[in-house]
Amino acid sequence: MTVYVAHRLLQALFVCLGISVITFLLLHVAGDPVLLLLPQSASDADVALLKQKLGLDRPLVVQYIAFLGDALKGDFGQSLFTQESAFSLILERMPATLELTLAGTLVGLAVAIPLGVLAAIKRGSFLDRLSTVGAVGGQAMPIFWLGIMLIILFAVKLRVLPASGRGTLAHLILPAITLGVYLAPLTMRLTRSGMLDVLTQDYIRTARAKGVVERVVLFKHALRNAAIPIVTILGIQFGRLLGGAIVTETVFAWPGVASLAVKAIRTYDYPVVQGSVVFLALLIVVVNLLTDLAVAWIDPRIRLGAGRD
Amino acid sequence: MENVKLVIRCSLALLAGLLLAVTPVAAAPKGRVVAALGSDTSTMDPHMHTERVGIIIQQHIFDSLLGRDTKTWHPVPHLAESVTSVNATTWELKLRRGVKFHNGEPFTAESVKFSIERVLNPDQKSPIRGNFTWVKSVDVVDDYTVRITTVKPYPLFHEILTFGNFVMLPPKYVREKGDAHVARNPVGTGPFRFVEWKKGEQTTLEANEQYWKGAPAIKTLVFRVIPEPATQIAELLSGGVDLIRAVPPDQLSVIKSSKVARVTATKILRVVYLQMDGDARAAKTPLTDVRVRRAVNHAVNVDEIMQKILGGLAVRTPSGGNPLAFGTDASIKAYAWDPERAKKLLAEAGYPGGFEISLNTYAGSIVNVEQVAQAAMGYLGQAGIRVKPRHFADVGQYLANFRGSKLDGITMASWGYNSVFDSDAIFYTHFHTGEPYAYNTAKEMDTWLEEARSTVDTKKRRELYSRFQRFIVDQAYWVPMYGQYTIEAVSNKLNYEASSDEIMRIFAATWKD
Repeated sequence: MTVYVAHRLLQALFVCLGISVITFLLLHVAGDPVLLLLPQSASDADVALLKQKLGLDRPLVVQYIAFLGDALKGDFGQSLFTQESAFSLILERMPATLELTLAGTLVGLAVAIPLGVLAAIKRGSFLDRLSTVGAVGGQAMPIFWLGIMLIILFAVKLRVLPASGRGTLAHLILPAITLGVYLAPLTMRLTRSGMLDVLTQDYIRTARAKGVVERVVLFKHALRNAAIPIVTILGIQFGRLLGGAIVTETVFAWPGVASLAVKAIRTYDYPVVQGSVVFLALLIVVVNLLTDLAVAWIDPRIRLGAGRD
Repeated sequence: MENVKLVIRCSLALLAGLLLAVTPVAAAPKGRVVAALGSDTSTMDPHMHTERVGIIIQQHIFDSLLGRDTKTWHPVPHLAESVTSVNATTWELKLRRGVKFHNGEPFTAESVKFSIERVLNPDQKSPIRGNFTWVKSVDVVDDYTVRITTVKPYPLFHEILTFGNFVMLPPKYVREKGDAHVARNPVGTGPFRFVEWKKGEQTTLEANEQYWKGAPAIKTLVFRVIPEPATQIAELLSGGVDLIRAVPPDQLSVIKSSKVARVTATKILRVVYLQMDGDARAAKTPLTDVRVRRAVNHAVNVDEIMQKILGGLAVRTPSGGNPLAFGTDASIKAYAWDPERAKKLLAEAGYPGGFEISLNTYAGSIVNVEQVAQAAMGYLGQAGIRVKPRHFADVGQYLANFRGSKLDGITMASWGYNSVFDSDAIFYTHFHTGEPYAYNTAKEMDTWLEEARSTVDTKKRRELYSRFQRFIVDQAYWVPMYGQYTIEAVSNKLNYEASSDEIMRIFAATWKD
């Protein structure tokens, strides 16, 4: 198991390195932060001077190596706009993003799994069809639109929840629902098909024949086996979830890393973009590692298989 | 005797009562106001950024040397009580006495010298340094008198002292605490004192009850960052925020029909125009021929764009200069919309069948940019000028191409005068040889612009700018279009109006009781 984890971490390091090269090149090709830092009327001499001060006049390779050297020491450089450490800017925003993605995942799972199980048990029923239609609708609905609709309904019309911002639990409800609805459809459909598949297996029939209580059959024998693809997909979906978080954070003025990164991209604040992208990538890698470990925990065959390697 | 005393006492009491009744007693600040901004400031150090949102927040914490009259927008005394010209290159400033920074430090001539020299210090890396290179020296005469010497005569002196970022800092505090601390903990002399900054989220300010102009009416002022305009409007309608900036024109009716808020709009300095590459700076083009440029001017129906697309919230600028700015010649007439005349001029120039040309546009600053660009394309098409649109979704890219001589053909551009209400702030940058945005140049224009820039004689400057504007209109270097409006929305609880210099003056807002 230790070898397995070490192997995955080494992989993660290369993923982050690759990502840093790509973001670095894309940003430098895309535009120039100096023009956004200076007033529009700045002379060419002012532009050249500031470029030199920020070290942006050096060859790209030199700039990248300097960045990499500092990054290895945990220093992503200073934001070009705030002159603050990019790393501390990201750390400041991290709790908000984690809170939102975690709450969104919980809402998503709380809706998707019971619905998926119910739809599978009552296959072909009205409930099954309704949840399938709901899932298709949920998948088709732009997350941005859903967020605005929830705000109009609960904040403007009913006035029961705040429209935006972060602070109390009430502030978390609408963004978490928005992100949850984004995550739920795929998970629900996977649960449903996974359960349908498992419920026809011989061991389920055996369990039922042995007289095991239906609840235990469903949740211990069936769901545990159906959960393997769900957990795997959850890891993969995490990247998508962060994408959804960018939109959710913007709509709800949620002060997280995703919206920090969006603003930094718009202003070519290289150090902050690089820092946040590497950070988010690391997060995705870690979450995927954790889901792999969770799958191994759920499914002893994987654990044993890994042990034999 | 006792009776006399009693009469005197009663009379005094009555007098005191009367005095209290007639003297307006400033009510203590009360209540909380939340204003929504689309993005956050990158720093609380006013000398270290050029962002509008930062200027708005910091104008509530700090004071500049001169303020603005909110009717004429002319500079008026603020921290400097008077500005007098000693000679062509020396100005004397008399400062207001008894003003204190929020930390108790007194505001003196030393604070002015320190603040100006801080911006000018190359090691400070202030992005607004370029706006102040005309300063030769700052000398303290006494505690409340400062002399500023300029490199050469500098006519924009009063204007620049109102500059949004150019505010006074407390020298002792900045020296002791250092820049990093100041960037998070601003201390000024302004109407509000800084309480807290949750980066990317909100800034909280508290009324400065000892403010030299009298305490503001609002006790707590919060600037919240809400990037999405639809969310800002939802917050306004649900009572979560009291003020929003930059209302999209298509949302005006939503606010107007609500019972909780109203719209406040006013003319601002930003002008929109079609810049033509008359010098063929980017590429060979028919636009080097004045007849072609005049044809382009006759082709575009600016009045219809203003009415149909902007709902009348725009002001025509026949010379390209904004009527709000000093030196704009109001007597100049715009080219009439006349497609037939445009076609005739094109035929005379050797383009009877028209020609194909690029129209560069960019996202940001221009209200309803897509619709305005589509309309312009349609009008040009009617005159036989076939437009190839080229859109920059990114302002940085657009500016880099503009400065880098890469915007060929026609460019739908806009200019905000850097908040300086003077013709120099637009014409020099756009028409002086060698300037990054100048795509049309001529020797006589250089002479006029340089002369107007180096004399403090207002009459002479007005004449020079008038001559200059007649020239550029005759040469049809650009298609002057219109000056924009700022459209803000405010809760019905407040008395508040939008400002032409795009600074939200929430410090001047009062409660409707």
